[in-house]
Amino acid sequence: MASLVRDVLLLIFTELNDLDSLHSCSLVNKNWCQVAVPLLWKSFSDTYENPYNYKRESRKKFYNVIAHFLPNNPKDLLPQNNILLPLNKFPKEPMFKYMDFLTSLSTVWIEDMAKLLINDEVGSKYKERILEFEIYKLIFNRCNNAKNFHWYTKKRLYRYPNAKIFFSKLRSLEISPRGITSKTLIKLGKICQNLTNLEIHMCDEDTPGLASFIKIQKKLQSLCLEFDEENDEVEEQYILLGNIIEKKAATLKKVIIQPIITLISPIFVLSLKNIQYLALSNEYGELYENVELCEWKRYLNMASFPDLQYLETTCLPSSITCLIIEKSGRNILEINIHSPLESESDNRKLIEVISIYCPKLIKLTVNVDYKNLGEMSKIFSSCKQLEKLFLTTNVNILPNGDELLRVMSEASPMVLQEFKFGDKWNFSLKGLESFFETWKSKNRPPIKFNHNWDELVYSWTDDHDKMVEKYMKV
Amino acid sequence: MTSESSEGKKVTLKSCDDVEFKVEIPVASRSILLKNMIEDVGETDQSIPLPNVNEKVLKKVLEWCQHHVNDPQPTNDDDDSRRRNTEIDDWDQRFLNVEQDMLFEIILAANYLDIKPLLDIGCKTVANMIKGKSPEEIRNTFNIVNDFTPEEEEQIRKENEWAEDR
Repeated sequence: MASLVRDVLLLIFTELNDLDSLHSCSLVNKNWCQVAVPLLWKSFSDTYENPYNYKRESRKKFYNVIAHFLPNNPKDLLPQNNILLPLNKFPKEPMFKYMDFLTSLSTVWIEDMAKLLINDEVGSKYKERILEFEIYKLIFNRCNNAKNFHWYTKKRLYRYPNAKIFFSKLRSLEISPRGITSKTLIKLGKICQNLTNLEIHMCDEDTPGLASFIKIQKKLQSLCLEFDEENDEVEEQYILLGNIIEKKAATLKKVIIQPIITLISPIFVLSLKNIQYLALSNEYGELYENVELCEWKRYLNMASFPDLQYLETTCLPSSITCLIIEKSGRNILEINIHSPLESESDNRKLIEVISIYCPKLIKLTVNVDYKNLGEMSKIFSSCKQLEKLFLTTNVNILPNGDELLRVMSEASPMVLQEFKFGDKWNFSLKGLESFFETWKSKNRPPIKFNHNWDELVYSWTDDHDKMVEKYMKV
Repeated sequence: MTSESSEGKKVTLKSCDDVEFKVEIPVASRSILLKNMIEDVGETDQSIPLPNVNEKVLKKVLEWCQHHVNDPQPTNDDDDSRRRNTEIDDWDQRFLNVEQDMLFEIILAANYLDIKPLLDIGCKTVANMIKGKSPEEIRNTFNIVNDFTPEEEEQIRKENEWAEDR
């Protein structure tokens, strides 16, 4: 057998994309082990945001490996405080420098590690604090390849040994102003200025610290701003945040604002010249076109998004979604529109706008009014690269699925390979069979049918599933 | 050199076992290594030696290049998205339905010749052969010898035990 070089093995293992297979690869032989183990740890650290999704025993075993790297000479802080780790010491030193493989770190699992390894002993709170301190020291000192950090603690981590180098190398940071104060952000901004991605969650305060932290970033390309939906006190716009986003907008390629977009002045959209990914959700905002949303429309009318490739809107008037699409450079590849606020005519206009302005569209999630089924043919004939279609409906009158299937079988592009739909769509077995027969007669590759369960409507039955299965086998 | 200007013109490639292949330049240019060489050297009657690829494998690789001659060239900046989005189409699946040795030789040749799309689908094919298998099953599938000492195997197992039952 030809022996695969390590570069190629790395490419193969990267394709695996699942921890179980990577774990198996790590035990095949020494060569595979050398390539698989770093990837196993990196992949795990990238997804290990919430430790409580994993079993306690598994987490303890993971933390036990990390504990081998904590200082444990008799004069070190941990043994001095009678914290004797690791709990299960390996017969030999660890075979890898595992700390090098951790690319994403979270304060949540660091706290979990301290709790689990101290294990509810007497005086455990004090010991937990000491252990946490040592873990942070270890991470800031040894995790040389860390790129992402999730900060959900009130601890002033910028003061820890080696924090300066660690935070200066970070590329992505996730914070919540609930945990990290304005003052801390000002201090952090002095050592952490090279972020390309910043995610602000549960934002409930318009603080100078947050604004100055965003301002000081030299390479920011991606900004996620999630307001705290439970904070009823905030009604006024976040002036400081709005001003600084306006100043940074020209370099941003990705912007996510949720779940109330009207808390930010829309003036920044005029500067979003390089935006490629835009997601706006007004799920917890006013569900009618108020003054603030009209202001958004006014600025969107003057904006342009020549490089926009991904658009997602939630609980927004279709008129706003239409404006964004019209102002794009006809380069949009994916559109996901959830729970739109629209009338039948708004919906018709949206379908028309998509068909005119999105010739490169590959994936589309859209609501379709039952009176506009015929209009879908415009999208099918204009968006020749459409591969995946997800149709929702938010009307009380169940749309005639058979009519949709007829339009789809007659006009959809050859590359369409997946159709997803909510259960409110009403397909008859006869209509479904006729669709598949037409599809087959045109020698088209099989299409994947996926239905989303709706708790109130059950129009899709086992017989429908059998029908799909029958034709998928052909 | 654009494919339009090079249409009809040929370049000679020489395998490590001294077999020469006359190939149209757009076909050879699916390999970034060859594309750059052709662009650097210009027109030449001399054959380009490929010391890492034998006749059988080169013939197979050129068959792939011929079939995909009109595909857009991948750009350098979309490596990750290309790999994630690459689904192996029917023709490629049949093309890669070969003996395991040949599959590996094709992957190594694609790596050497810098033909990223071929390398991607080759790696994806091997990855699909690995998925869901135990270490022993993987060893059997690829005829790999376990060269761990029992102590090493035990140690590496312990260090990554957390990944077993999460």
